[in-house]
Amino acid sequence: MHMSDTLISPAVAAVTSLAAVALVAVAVRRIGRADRLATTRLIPLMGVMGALVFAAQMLNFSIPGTGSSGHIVGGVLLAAVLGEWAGFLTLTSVIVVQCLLFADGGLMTLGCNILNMAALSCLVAYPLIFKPLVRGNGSTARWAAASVATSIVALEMGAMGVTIESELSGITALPYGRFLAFMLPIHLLVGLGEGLATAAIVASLRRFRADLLVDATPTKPRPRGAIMAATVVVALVAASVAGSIASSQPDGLEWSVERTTEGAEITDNQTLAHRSASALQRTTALMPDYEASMAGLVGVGATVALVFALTRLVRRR
Amino acid sequence: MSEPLQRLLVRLSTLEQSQPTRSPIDPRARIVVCVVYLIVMLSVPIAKLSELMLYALYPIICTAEVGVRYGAIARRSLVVVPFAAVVGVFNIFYEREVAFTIGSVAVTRGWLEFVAIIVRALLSVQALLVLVRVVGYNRLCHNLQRLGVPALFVTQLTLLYRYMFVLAEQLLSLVRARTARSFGRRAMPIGEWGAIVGQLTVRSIERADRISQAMVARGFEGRMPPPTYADRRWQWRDTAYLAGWSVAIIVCRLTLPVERLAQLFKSL
Repeated sequence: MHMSDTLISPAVAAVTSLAAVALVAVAVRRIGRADRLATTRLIPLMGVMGALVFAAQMLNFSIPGTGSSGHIVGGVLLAAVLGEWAGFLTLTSVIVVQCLLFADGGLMTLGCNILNMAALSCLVAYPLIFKPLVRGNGSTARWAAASVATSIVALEMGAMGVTIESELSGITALPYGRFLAFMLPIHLLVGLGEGLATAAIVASLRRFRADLLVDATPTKPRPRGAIMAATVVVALVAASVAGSIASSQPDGLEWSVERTTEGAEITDNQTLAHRSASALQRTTALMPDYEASMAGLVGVGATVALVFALTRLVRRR
Repeated sequence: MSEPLQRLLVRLSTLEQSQPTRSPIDPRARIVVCVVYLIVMLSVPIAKLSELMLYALYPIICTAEVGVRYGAIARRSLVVVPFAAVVGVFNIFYEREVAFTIGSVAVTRGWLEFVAIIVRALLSVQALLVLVRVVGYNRLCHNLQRLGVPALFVTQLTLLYRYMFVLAEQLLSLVRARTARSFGRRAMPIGEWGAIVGQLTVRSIERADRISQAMVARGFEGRMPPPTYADRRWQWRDTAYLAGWSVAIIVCRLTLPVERLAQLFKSL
């Protein structure tokens, strides 16, 4: 799930980083606004839970029936213990440390990775699926089902995010549809493993310290912020899908011009050096495509900014 | 599994303690130059492999400047190769146009792009590894805060790093106990895994509570205090470092020196 820097273009990196920075800023504000006693308890807990995700990732479990093993991403677990925003911030810090110390995902793709893993699992899947499912302190089976369902949805959305972001960057030659067809089934299995692992931890937490799970204790519901965050992410995804569709269908004239020039070049009797030079040049002539996805990106940026401004307006009232 | 984990922990802590000769450049300048480098390097089209190779100069010069072996950094950066190869392998199949031929072997554009994708991955990881190696994790976090990252988030990054060692040690002892009692069974079923990690979670949270009480008793108010070493003031040579590298990198991107050189050779 970690995207590496090699997959991404600077424009996509810029837009996703801006979105991630905005979300981190919101998370910091929300946590900072809580009363001081709660913050002083929450901050060490966030640190320890982040470290725990690391420790849990170092210990692989075997996936039944496949002979392979997997490790946990931890988004749903963190959100279940810390709540959406603190969980999001903690997972973000885990991703940053993975990038800085373990060469897992790059600095330029931090924004993508934060959106794909932390935002989608803690701010979208958790409040929209996990919370409604376990409301009212349901049975163990219910908690397990909620963990599995939430993890699968979170990872599938994340996989979709990876596909969209790499497609907009235009580095991989793999067409969007095939990339998606390749990513979704894999992450269905990964999500199942993640869900079962989360369910196992949640089950043991419920047995020993049920009070630690945020949703096991009745708290006042505050869904508005989460829904706003969900809107930001959904807008981002939708806008980038639109952008990628726009860029994958160049208009007919462009296409035919490309065809003719290509034909002319092939029939030309050229020297080896010439041929290689023109082949190099043709790859840089992929700019029209790039510009179309640039338009998509500007759209994404504008949408994110707009939705972000809206969330600020709603909160101020 | 416990042995690689132990090795990793030892390596991380020795890296943190053994900073190379204290470099005279402000870490903030290094961070900004690293970001500029990454943006510019990633903006080189993957078809321009030769141009991309030029960017290997940055990690090489940086390691030489601070007295770290480039080989060690390069070796560590190899971890990204499998991932980059999986990503890049599709370009081989989709871009079959011949770019040039060496003797009777035709090299397609796809192969060039495949190599370019791997080079991009290696260079971006190397730039980051050099940065962390030179500045050190804790100083890096502190300087991120000086660059405007929220204090709360920096506190989180610092605490996470500190507890990583504590929890990994605890996990090691749990795993050792399990290994001692399960002779010959290497695979870890998910139920057992859940029990171990769940146990670790409960213990960690209780530990976090004790830590927070101890921290509050010592005057913690939700932010980490500044580190004990004094912050350097921004100096002229930091500006020179920042400006010099940035201009060099950007000029290199805009003028495409390798391509020009190749054309020069061709015209001779």
